Amino acid sequence: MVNRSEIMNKVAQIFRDIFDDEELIINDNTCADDIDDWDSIEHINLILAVEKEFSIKFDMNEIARLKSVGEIVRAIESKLQ
Amino acid sequence: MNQTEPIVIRRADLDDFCRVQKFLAEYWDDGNHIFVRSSEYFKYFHVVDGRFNVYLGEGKISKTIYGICAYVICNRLQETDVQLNLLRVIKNNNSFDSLQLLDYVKKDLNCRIFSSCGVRPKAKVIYDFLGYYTGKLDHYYRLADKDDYKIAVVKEKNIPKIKDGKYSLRLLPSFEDFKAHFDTRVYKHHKPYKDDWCIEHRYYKSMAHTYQVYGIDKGKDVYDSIIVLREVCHNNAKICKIVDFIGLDEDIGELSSEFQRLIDENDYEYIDFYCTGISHSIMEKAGFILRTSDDENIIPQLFEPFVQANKDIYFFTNDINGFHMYRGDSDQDRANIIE
Repeated sequence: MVNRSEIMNKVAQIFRDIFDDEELIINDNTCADDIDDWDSIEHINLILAVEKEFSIKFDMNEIARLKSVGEIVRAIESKLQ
Repeated sequence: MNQTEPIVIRRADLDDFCRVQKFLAEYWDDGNHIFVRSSEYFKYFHVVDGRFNVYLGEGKISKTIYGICAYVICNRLQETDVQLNLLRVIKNNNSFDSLQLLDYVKKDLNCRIFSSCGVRPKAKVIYDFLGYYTGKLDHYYRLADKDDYKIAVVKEKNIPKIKDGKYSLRLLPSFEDFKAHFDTRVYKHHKPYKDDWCIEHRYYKSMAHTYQVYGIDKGKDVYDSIIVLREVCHNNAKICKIVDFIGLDEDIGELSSEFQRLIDENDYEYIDFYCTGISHSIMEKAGFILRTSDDENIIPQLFEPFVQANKDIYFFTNDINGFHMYRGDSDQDRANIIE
């Protein structure tokens, strides 16, 4: 079982890769307001990368509801249980 | 960012026209989109029979527009074929995104073919996610044999030798001539199907460009195929774009000497053709070469303003089987300047 900290580390690396910023630091509250390039297209790229990393799937409505890093991490935890 | 509120996705009506235009002014091309500068041109593209062919997502409370999707139709059948032109959703706190807007538009339109060309490479992921086919139009060209090129950049002058084609081109100068010699209904099964209205609207009544519609003459009174060209002048030189084709694909392969004649008679630097659905062997037979990623020649696509660079055009479609798409589709031949 992957713990929350491992999930967070992997999600953080996904964010750094997608936004091409190795200095990027995220926390549970980080949302699109905090990252200029986090638009609806990059949001899909983030989710696709998360799906690939954790071998899980989100549907369209779930994707729209994942508005912050915390929500993404909780959704991953939920799907991995 | 905006307040949190429920989002209503709906078809826009003409009362929304100015609000949609304002949205484009704020969120597209630094406010410089041609549809902002010319209401008339916006209506030419997106108002048909009094219907404004735009969907919008707006806040239920604030009425703020958070996203729009504009489309053109290829025919006036009930179950029509649709090509998207504009898709933009701004960042918002309302869990509203491009996926939801596109999904709503497709379901509400209940169209047969749902496609677009000119998809931004970055945005392909949206269409991939929704299960649509995405790809890149093939870019074919045939160069004139010149010492000096003012539009193209030619590092390697590769001009295939051609055999005489069997068919010739006959200009159809008016829409009446077109109707007298070509029956679009024969190709109702084509994807997409472009009817008489579409051809007249796009090519005979174009607000911005002059197109030449040619029938492919096989010695019969009624033509099996038509091809649409547009001449572009820049820097005291000319080129010719093939923007559309309807008919039997193999007919293009019999036009090699006609394409060369057009180049010679009009002093074009090149004729080029962005397409998907036409086989490579047919285009080779027509005397064209495919521009590949390692091609050192530059065959410009953008003229308003002129950009001396190669450009790839990406597309998506809900049905790739038998699908054809060209530069004249969606808004890829849309003007940026109206004189």
